Amino acid sequence: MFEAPSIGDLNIAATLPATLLALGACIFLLVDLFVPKDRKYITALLAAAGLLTSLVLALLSLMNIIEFGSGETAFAGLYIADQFTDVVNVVVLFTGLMGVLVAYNYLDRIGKQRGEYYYLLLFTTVGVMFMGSAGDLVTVFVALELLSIPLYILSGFRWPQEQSEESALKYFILGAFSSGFLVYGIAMIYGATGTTEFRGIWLAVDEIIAQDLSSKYLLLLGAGLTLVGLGFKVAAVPFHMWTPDVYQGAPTSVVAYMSVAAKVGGFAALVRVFASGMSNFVLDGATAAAWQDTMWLIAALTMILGNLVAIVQTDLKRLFAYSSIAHAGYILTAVAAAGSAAVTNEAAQAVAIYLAAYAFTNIGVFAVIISVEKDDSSNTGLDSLRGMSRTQPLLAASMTLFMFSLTGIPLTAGFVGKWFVFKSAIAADLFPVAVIGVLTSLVSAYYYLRIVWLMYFEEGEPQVYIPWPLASAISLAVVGTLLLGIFPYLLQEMAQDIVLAFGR
Amino acid sequence: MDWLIILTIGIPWLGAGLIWLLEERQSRLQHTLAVVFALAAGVAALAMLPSTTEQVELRIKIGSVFGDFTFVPDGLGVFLAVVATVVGSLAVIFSVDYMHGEAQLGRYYSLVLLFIGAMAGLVLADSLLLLFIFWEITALCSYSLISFYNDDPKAVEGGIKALIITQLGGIGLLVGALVIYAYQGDYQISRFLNEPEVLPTNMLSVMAFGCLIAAAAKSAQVPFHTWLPGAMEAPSPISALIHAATMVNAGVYLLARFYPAFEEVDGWTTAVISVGLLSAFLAALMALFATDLKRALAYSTISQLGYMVYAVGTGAIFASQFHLLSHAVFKALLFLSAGAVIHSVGTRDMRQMGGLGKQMPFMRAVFIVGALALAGLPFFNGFWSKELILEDGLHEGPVWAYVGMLAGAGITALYTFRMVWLVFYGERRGSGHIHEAGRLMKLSTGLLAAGTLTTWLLIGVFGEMLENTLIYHHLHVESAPTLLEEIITAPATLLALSVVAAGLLGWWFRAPLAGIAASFKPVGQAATSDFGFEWINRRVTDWTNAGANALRTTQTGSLNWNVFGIIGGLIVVLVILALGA
Repeated sequence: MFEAPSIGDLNIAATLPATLLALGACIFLLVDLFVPKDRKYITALLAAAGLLTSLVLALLSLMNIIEFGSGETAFAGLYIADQFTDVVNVVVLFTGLMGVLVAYNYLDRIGKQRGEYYYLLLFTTVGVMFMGSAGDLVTVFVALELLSIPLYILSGFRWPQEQSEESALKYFILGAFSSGFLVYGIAMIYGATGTTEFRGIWLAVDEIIAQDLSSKYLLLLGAGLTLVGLGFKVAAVPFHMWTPDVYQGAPTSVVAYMSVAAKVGGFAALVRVFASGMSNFVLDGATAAAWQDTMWLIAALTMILGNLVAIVQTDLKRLFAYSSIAHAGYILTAVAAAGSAAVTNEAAQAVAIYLAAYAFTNIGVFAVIISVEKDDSSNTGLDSLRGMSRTQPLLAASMTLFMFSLTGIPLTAGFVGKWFVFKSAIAADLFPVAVIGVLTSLVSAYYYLRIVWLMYFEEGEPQVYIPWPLASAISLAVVGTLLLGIFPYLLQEMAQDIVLAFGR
Repeated sequence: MDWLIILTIGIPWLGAGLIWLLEERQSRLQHTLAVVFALAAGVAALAMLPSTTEQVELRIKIGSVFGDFTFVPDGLGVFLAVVATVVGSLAVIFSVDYMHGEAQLGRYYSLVLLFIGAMAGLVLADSLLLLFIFWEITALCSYSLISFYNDDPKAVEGGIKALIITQLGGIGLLVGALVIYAYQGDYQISRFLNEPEVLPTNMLSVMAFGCLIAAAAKSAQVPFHTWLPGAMEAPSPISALIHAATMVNAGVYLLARFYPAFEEVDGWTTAVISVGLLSAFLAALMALFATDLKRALAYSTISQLGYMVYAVGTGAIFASQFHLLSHAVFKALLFLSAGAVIHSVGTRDMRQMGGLGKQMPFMRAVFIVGALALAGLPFFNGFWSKELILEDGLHEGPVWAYVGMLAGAGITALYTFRMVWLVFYGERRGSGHIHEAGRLMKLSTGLLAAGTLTTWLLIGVFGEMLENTLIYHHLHVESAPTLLEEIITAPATLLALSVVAAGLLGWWFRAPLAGIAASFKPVGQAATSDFGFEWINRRVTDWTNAGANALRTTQTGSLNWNVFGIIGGLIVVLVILALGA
């Protein structure tokens, strides 16, 4: 017998930061129609204000000052409003805000100052937020599309420039292709468990394991397909190949945003699906979830390939594409650790911490690249930073800090992130992966510090262009990288209430 | 006590900050401030000496993530902090003359002071994580100072090499910290030493060997030693301070600190002894054939550090640390006086020197004092400590290692006299005007020479201090007169002395022995090519690059291949999952 839930049961208030932003994006879309072409700063300001409002709401919720709605689920289980949701919201809203800051003058310079940019950015942000708060595989899929489709468009924002168009098309075709895997995976999981809701899946998995039902094979297939679909989003090896091409072709301001936001979304969904929904999928005679081996193997491959190939790159955007692949590997290490029942929550916290730390640093890096890039999108080679310490001491110092953070040198945010990730890996008895992680960090020191070396020890007169929004974005990134590095308990406090495993 | 710890670390760091802020043209003020802050740090460290304790004296709460940052000023830590700050002060004083008129003095002094503070912190820290942080700061300072002359590609290359190899070692330490935390719940070293059983045996050996790798990389031991000769591109006071007297000792310190926990680990002591033996012996040979004065001294440092590592391996913690003290003093002396010579001659090639004793009598005198201590002649400080190591090695260690170390002592004497002869005696082979060193150069080397003659008198006090505060090591150190008497009367001493004498005679009669020497030519060639370790280094970097380039070809940019990659990945994933089922 169908029973319509009442509006009150939907608990819409719990989704306030996300729904407000979605609503805002729709309204800005209309408002933009009436904003004259030479005054697009109005749209930019509106977008920033919208992001800021949601960010404040999400922060309040994160710090448990205000709890929106009642209880942790909304929309009958499709949406979960827990600590993890709050962390993802804060990280991605901050990223979005930085995305607007770095984009505004850049768009002016490339002659593409259009309102679409801002509300597309808002829509992806909403997509990421829904991915982080998904309580159901259907939400994951819809949110994934909401996240991806605007990003495809944004990658091609520099049309008719060929590189940009190629990047968008490639991203779109491969993205659509891997979305197919995800849908198919969802179907398999539904076939095995009879539900798409995580809690339901979790209960069903218990049943399947307890009675050794043959639907476990279906579930394995579903897990594999889902892993491929989401692995593509986070650029894990061997699903990473789009990354360097897309990063190089897309407008740099888009890359700055996308390199963090798409990762946050992808990992949030990975954690929700695997750590939350299937952490109890422990086959006979095993000590950890069935997907753990696959996950850590992919993590190891990702770390090795990303870091090694980054060594030989000569273009900054490509180099940081590989660097972002490598960092996906570190986060995947923690996701793999979540496969051990006792470590699930700790590993999920490590993922959240790493993402937060990574957001600050990586946007900062791309902001610096934007400052040296010429209007025709040239000059993104490594050489463009040569001798920067002479002409731009502050910018060079900021970039150095970001490089230290990405390498994982103590007193920077990057170190804190790596620390928690490796700690969870060791706690989950994934000692070899942790060692691979630390060793590949050493390799990464080579190409990160080479950039420092270029800036400080080589001659050159780099031309930079830093309007105030870009400068403030870089300063925010510096402050965040330092603050989280020196006071790591900020991150820990934020993450320690993350509980993803059901029933524990 | 707690504020003394803060001062010892904080004063140099404060100085580093102040000097960094000064204008480039205020060079006089920069010199003065550097000396004042370095001396003040030295005084603060010395003031800790009377009240060493095994208790946690300073606890900084930094939230729950990294545990409390704790400091324990025990005998070992305070002693090394004193070495770091006092030798640091002398190196800074020397620098006033040596770096006179150089550009970028602010960067130089800031980094030196930052290093001194970090080194003091490293040895006083009781939290393994904190130790790791200081460890990395010293590595970064070392890197920046090696590459100080950054328009010289050799200096830059040397710096990068040092950084990468010591970073590799740092990983061992980081893994150790993670392991300790995973089982113990905090990073307290003293708690771990008290109860190493909290770690399961396999984890304990992972940690023990991780620390060995860390120590070997930091202390430039075989096979990670190749960075130290390259580090000689640094200004000479830096070589004296960081690459002879302090930072390179951090590895030996680490091994000595964790010895009680690791001594029962299978094969660990043997591994430590082997590393020490190989380093002591091979590096001595390399020093014998080196032509660059500073590189010869660098090899000699590797060799002497090998003696200390060997001593730790045989359980002679006291002997190793006592030799560390002697070595820090006489090797700093050798580096500084060599620096004065190089400053004056303008080359580091010993083949371009010769006969410099006439123009630089003072430097010759102090260099010979240092050289005699290095060769282990009575009654310089190097004699006592080296004899102590060899004597303990004979009683506690395996015989094969002892024989190797003894041979090493002979080669040490040989290369030391070769060095003295090539630099100060014979006919001048180069050209150009030679001037005697500056006053402050003489002052600092003179003080170190005095130390070389006298530090062995501290043997009793030092032993007592270690015995009382290193409670987990269960040391038993005799009183000073007994110790000294034992060393003098031990048959091991006579044996060692005769080997040293043989080395000396070998140099004296080098002309008649030329025939025999010629038959050692292949050894010489192997030694000059660094016994192939340099080759391995190059191969590793080449292979990494080649691997990266090979992997790069997987990035075709063609959509079909991308799709192929995804499908291939899917198949692999499914196969692995199916294997698990």
